[in-house]
Parts: sequence; structure tokens; C-alpha cells
Amino acid sequence: MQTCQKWYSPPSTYDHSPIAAEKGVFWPLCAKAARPENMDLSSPRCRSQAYIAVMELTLIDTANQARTETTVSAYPAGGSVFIRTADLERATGFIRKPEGLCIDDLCFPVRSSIDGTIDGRPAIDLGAVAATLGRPLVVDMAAGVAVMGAGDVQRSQSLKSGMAPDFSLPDLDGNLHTLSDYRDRKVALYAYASW
Amino acid sequence: MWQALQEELGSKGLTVITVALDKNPNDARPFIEVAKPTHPSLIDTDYVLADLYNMVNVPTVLWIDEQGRIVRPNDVHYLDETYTAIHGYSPEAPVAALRAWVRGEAPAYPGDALADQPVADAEHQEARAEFALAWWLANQGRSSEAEPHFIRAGNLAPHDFTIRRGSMPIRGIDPAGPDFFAMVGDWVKAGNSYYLPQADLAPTKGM
Repeated sequence: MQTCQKWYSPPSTYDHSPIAAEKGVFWPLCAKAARPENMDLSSPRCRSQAYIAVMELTLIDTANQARTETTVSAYPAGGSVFIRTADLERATGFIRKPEGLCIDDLCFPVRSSIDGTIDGRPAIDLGAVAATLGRPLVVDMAAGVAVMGAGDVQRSQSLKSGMAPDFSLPDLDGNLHTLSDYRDRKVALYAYASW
Repeated sequence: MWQALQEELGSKGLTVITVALDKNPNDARPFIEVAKPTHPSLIDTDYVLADLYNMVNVPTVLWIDEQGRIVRPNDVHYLDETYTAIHGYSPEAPVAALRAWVRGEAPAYPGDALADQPVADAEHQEARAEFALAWWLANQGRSSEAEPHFIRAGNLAPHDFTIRRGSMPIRGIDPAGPDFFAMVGDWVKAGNSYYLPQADLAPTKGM
């Protein structure tokens, strides 16, 4: 019997469907997701996403220099991935309000198609969230990890403001140093590597 | 070498901040222990500086004034002659320029620093997200799952060598071995530059 695993797991490198490649979404291995017992794995329905259940996803937000990593419940559907709306705030700080996606006093208007449900509870289309915020989203459902990066506009505006983006990084002893602590000094910032 | 400049120019108002973009603090440790820096000498295991400042290779230098403004945009400065024969960058011009700026004898940059600061496009920021995802997996020992994301990151931003070369030690590839030279060879042969220096201090012949 042909297994679901076979359909979804490409041989050596990941085989992106056109949609997945375009969106940067690595589609899940069917066999890795929970599915009903006694499901006929040779059924074409297996290839639809009907039986891919809610999964745990580590969502990493790299927009701020201090990156955050949050475990959320996720469900792939319609070429994107939905997470619980309640998890969005924990992971990114953004809240779904009637006005749109909001953080502090700032709201980004959204289409109603951004909303969905997981197990009857409110969910939100993470791909649409990223698109609304102008940020890249890369998802590997099989590996259970996604990164919402910093948007090019956000980064460009920061650099083109002329102010050096602030950061805090550790020295070898683990002590944090913050760039803005060196105001009133001229700073030569030198990035190097052992490679 | 940065330590020598810190000692020479610290009393004139300069603070050198060096940042190692390395997967593990121990990779940078030998360099730091030899240099014995009295200035901040930092470790950036996630390459966040590359993301914040749109750095695409090392070394990358920026100068920041007393108000926290970028006054000299991303540039390529080598402060010693170890590899000058290979890359063409000698230390005299950048060291002289740094001294002149710190002493107030010359502006940091002859052009418009804001206009000449390179910024990333959407594809490049997606590459950085892929790199972050790959690095997260690799950090957990899940290298075969990480690999396609490292590759996709490099394909999305072929000019970003903090991704293409900087991922090599993480992926178990010698970053100064045949794969590296093949990568740079192809890149240069296609008419691209491996380094992106600002014009005023750039060597006449360099990679």
C-alpha cells in the first residue's frame, strides 16, 4: 500500500510545489501529523490537507534584535498556516482587534478572510498577518518551526533614518553591551568572523 | 590592531566595538584572547547585526558619531596586511581616515552617508528569515532538516556572504576550502564583486 509519507516526503531535497516555493512554505509530511486511526493512506484525500491535524509550531519573531520564540498551535490550510488568534499576541505582540492587527496605538487594517478557526476557536492566517505587516514568513511544518522576519521596509526605514539601529550583545563573559550606551563617543563598529 | 587604535584614539573620543558573527563564542575566543581588547568585544551567534545593518559580508565597518548617527556607511576595512595579497585591501587608507575623523581633521565620509547606506529588499529579508530558521534547526542538531533552508536562503540572496559563507561552518563545510573558492569564483566570474566597499577608500584592485 502506498503511504502518505511517500507522497509528501521528497527524496533528497525538499520538493516545493509551485505555491509552496513561491510562499516559502515547506509543506508538511502527512505522516508526521496526527490523523484519524484506520485512515486509508492510499486515499487521495490524504493528499488534501483534510487529515493534517493541529500541530505544535515554534514561531520565531526576528523583527526585534531580542528575538522571541513561542510555541503555538498551528493548522495548515488554504496554502497558508493558521494559528490561534490568542497565540499571535504571545508570539508577536500583535492583537486582532475590530480595527485590524494592532500593536500599541498602531493598527494595520486586514481583510475578514484573515480570520478562521481551529477546533471551533478563533484562529488567524499567519501568512496574511505577515503580508499585512510587510514581513517575510517562512514555515517548515514538518520540522515544526516558522520564522517571521523583519520586513524590508522596517529595516530600510530604520537605516535610512540615519540613526544607528541599537543592539545589545554579550562579550565572551556573557556581559551585555548596548550600542546606545556609547552616545557622546565616536564609535567604530567592526563586524568580523572566524570564517 | 583595533586594540592599538583604541589605545591611540580612545582619549580623543573613539570607542571601538568589535562584533564576531560566529556560531559559537568559542570560534571567536582565540582571536579575542590574542587581541586582549579593552574595548567592547562582542559575540553575535545569530548574526543579528547583519540583519539590523544589512551587512552582506565580513569585515563590515560603520562609523557612528556622538549623536548615534551613521556617518560612514557599511564599508570594507582591513587593518592588517595578512591577506592583502589576496583581496587587495591595505590598511593605510582606512586607518588614516579613522584618525582624521576622530581628531576632527576630516569628515567621516565625503559623500552622503544616508544615500550610500545599502538596504535590503523583501527577498533578502526572506533569505534572512530562512537563515534564522535553518540556524534554529541546526542548533538543535537537526542538520538535514536545516540544509534545504540554508540553501534556499543563499538562493534568495546570492550576494549575502554572511549567509552563503557564514553558514558553511554551521553546515560542516570548510569556509576557506574548495566550496568557498568555487562559490567566490563563480560569483566573480559572473561579473559580481565579493566585497562592496565605499569608493573613497577602496583599493584600485580588489575582489
